[in-house]
Amino acid sequence: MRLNFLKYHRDIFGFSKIKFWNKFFVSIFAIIIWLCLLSIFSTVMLEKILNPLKFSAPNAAIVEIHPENTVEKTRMKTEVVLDFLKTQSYVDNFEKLDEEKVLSLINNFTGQNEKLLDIPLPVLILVQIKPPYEDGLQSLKLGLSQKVNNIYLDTETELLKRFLDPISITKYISMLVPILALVLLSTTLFLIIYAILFSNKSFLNTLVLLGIYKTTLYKELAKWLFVNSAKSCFIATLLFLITILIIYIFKIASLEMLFLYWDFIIYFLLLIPFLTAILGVIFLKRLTKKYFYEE
Amino acid sequence: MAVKNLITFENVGLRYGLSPEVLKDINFQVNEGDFIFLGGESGAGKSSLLSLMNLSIAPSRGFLSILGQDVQNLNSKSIADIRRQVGIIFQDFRLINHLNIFDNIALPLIIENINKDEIALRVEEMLNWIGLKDYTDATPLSLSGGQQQRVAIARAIIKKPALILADEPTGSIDNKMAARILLMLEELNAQGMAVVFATHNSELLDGNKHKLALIKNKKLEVMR
Repeated sequence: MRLNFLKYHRDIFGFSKIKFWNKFFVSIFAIIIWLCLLSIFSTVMLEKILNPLKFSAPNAAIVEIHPENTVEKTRMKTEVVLDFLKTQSYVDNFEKLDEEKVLSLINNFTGQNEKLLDIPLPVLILVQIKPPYEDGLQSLKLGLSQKVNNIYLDTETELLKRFLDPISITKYISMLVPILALVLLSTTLFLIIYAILFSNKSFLNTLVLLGIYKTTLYKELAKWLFVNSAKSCFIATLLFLITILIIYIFKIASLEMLFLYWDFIIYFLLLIPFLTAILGVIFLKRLTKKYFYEE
Repeated sequence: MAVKNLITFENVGLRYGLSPEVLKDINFQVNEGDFIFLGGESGAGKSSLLSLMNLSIAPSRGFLSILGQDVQNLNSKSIADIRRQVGIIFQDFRLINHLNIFDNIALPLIIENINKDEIALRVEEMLNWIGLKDYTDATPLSLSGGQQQRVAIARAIIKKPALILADEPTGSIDNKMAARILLMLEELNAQGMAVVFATHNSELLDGNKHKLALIKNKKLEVMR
């Protein structure tokens, strides 16, 4: 007498008929996960494009002293600032810009060619900061705010930030791709479970009438989802590696930065089967409650 | 010795959604060892009554208890537990077409995680009893209607339930096979299992001495 117990479980709870569903599920999930990986990769690449811009930013800032009521007051305030800068270890060197340079900067900004009458010029001091630039800049900001009022610090970083902002939006958009992919994964998962339940409704109803527990169904579906999404991850990884190989061979982009993010990619791939199983059980609970247990 | 009550209907009514009641004021009992024919024309409500008994639907009003439990107080696990103690036979057999006969009969035991040796022993016994021991590896679709119904009966009784609910079990097979199915159910009844046999086959209803309850005008009348 033969009893192929394992085969039974595979046939019943592999939601087979259903080999179709296995292949369908694995294919769709593999493609979506592969797209996720590509989007992570493109984000990393974008980061790499932006980094040289950050590193090439001049380590400089412009201290802008606004004119006071009297020339004497402005001069005294300027002296205080210059004395302060002389004593700071993070300051590489500094230069008080002469009136001609200031006027030229202002004219660049206003589009005027001559000094506007009755408007006193601000005092501008160009400060070169030793690396690490960000730390030095923070110290400069703090130190100046404690010494004098009414001073504006214009930094190259802020200028660069203005320049980088549109690119950052692109970066955020590319970060959105994995989120959208996860939404797509969830929706696909829901529809697949829905389709599996309905294409096997009579069969599952029979199991329910024979007294199968809901938890058994959940457990078996979670197992099925886990195994198949793990397979999908494996296939997606292979596809991704092939893509990387193509990029490497044809030198479309440098892969250097990608290796820094391998841990993130691995966590992402490990997370998918668990996430799929958990989401799948949540969806199944909803659907079985509606269609199998409380008719 | 007191006879154990398996099913009790007290003033039970059933409606689907907002539609009028399809069953009204059902007062009825199934006791241990009973063999009850449930008659009525097609669409009279026999399947609805059996659906109440197998807990597929809940009554709209009244009191219904199955195996001593009030159905209003059951959660899904308790429902599954009761179903495990009841054998159900369907008109359309409801066999799993992608499983072989052996696995189909073993289904209720596997759901309960009975060990493999025990399953093999009991399924073999069943296959001998229904006369299909040479069809172990066959799939349901390769069998005749009568053979499929015998497999369905074997699946329903493999756990030796106290109660068998048969919904038109002879509806899809010829008279000769219907008579054989009836004999099998009578044999099970003689072993102590209660049987509720829903049918609209008047020959079956008239030609035997078992209890008969008829559904007329949405109400159940006990005829003998």
